[in-house]
Amino acid sequence: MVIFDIFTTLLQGVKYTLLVSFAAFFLGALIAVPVTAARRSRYAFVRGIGTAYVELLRGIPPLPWLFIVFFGLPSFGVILPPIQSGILVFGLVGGAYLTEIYRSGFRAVPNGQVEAGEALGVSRFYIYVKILIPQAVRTMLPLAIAYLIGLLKDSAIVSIVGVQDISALSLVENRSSSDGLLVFIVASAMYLILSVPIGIFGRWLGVRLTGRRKRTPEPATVTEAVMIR
Amino acid sequence: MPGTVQNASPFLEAEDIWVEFNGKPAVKGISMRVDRGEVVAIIGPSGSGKSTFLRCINHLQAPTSGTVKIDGISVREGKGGHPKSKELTQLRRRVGMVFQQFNLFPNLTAVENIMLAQVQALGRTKKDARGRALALLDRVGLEHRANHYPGECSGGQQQRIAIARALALDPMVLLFDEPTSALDPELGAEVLGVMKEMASEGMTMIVVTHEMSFAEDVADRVAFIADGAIVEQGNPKEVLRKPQHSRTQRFLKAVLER
Amino acid sequence: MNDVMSYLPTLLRGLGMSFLLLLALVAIGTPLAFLLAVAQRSRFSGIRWIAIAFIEIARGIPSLILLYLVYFGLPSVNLSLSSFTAAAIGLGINYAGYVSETVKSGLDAVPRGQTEAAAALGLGRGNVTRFVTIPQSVRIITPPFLSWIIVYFQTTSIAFAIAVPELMSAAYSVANANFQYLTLFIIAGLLYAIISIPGSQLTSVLERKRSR
Repeated sequence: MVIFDIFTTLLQGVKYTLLVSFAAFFLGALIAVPVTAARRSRYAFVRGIGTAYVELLRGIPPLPWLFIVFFGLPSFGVILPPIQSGILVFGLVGGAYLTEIYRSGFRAVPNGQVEAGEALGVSRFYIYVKILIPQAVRTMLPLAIAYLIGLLKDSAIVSIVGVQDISALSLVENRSSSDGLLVFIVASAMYLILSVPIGIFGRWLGVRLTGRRKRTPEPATVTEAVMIR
Repeated sequence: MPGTVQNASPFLEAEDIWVEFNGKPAVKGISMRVDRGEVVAIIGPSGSGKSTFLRCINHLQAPTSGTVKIDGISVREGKGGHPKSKELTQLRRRVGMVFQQFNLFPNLTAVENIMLAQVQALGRTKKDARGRALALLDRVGLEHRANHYPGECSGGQQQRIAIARALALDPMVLLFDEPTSALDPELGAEVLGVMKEMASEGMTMIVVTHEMSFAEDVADRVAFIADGAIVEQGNPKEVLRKPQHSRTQRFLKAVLER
Repeated sequence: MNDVMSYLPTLLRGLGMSFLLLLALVAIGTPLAFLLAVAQRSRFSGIRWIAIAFIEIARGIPSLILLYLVYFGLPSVNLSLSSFTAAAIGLGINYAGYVSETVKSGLDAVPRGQTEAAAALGLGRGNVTRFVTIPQSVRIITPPFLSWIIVYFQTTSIAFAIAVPELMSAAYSVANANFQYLTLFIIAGLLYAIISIPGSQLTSVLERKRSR
């Protein structure tokens, strides 16, 4: 069976697709913490730094970033292999998008919640830990999962600098096969198959975290959804 | 024991409070003294600055100028125009607040809502805090709701839980910001009942309200605020029945005709 | 600096090609997006399902794979397209999948009373959609629609992978000749940023205006 042969060949690339997208997601989730803190700072200067980070990282598409890191950094003597370059770039870019996701989560919590905490003399730290974050997570989680699925697909461009992921292998297989179309259909199906369980896991996690409570989170605006894609 | 000493130095004193939003004054030099155990009702048209003034008392709203002193504690400005956080925390622990929209934490059960500040702000043990929370829930008639989330309670129940939460820090004064405005009359009555009981037990209270009957029956003093300033204040019966100023007369006429 | 001036025209020609590709993919994708949105609201469940399946597939496949599929895959069924046409079609389909959701939510946001009033005036279903629902939803759709155009302006960069002579290809060819990879890709990146950042600021201003 031709399909089966193609499938097994492309299967070799799944681990790299998953490695790059998941590692980048976790790196981005970490980077987004200080950037979100900066964007919510009371000092305009610190907010400016946070805003500059988000705007710059999102203003330049991932491919130029990837080329800057992979082809450009070696002129400073910094040589990163393809996989590391991919993780770094999507981690940095992901940090910007996840910052916006965190922020929209916090924005969805009514201001009265912070005020009530302040009026009770609860410290800022505990207001975040006990009041804001548990409520914001409900808005953040579906957006973050959607972003992870987006990352899974967007990470395909790391094949351009030589990561042997699903996309790279499909290109190689296409050259040696007479069923070029079929190769890419199988590759497409693999990306679809990979994103389904992530979506299901996200929904399960969402129910687990929020199932008992009735209040539904405010939906993000349509434009926010666009930014996150 | 009320005595001459306290009269000389009032328990709560707000002096010449000004608040500006984008250069426009919302509160224009309001001063108010409140004695221990006194219940003050603040009435006035919406947008008059009465809620803003109330929020200045515990510095949820930082006044543009003016000072608030409660039992000798005041908040001074620290670096960069931000209030000193230590003084701020001290002040807020003395002042409880009940909001129009309840602002219960939806991710916590009723009893957890009441425990949170006791544990995090006062450092009580969880066991102590829980015992106290249950006693307070009992006091507002809601012990059976202890393990329910706010979303599962009626508006009136939520507001009573919010009152219990405010009481949990043993505040010296309670601020109410239109506590019944988000409730229909029947549920509002539950809340007013609890407030009345607290007043009779000697709690110092400042209540921004539209409930004229509460102002008349429960308050020791009524202050009418319009356009960011106190127009007149005094004995509830006198202010509400025989207002001196035409502004007050117009407001009360409009309220009664509703 | 002289260097930069010497290859800037090349980069700007590449940028021009990026815009041309954007124009082509939007021209293909936008009518398709409206068609898919309207089809999703069809009375016939068959049509609804076809639309939903198309949208899910168009969005579920990485845009890079879609480009490969159209450019390298279709020749195996004897359909060879130029790299520009292939990129416009591949990205246009991908774009339509996302934009149709935006269009649909815009159509859904038009109050029922409006369509009922139009129906009461004797307008047929098609005419209600055409003359009442779509015109009213345009105002709602505009800001997110512009956001999508900015997103896809950035996405045109991956057409590099099938050798469309757009901005990234231009930067890459210059860098291959003078070995100044870092400078070239930073300049290319900044050219993207100069357009996307003000663009996204503009859309968020528009959205804030609309929500007021």
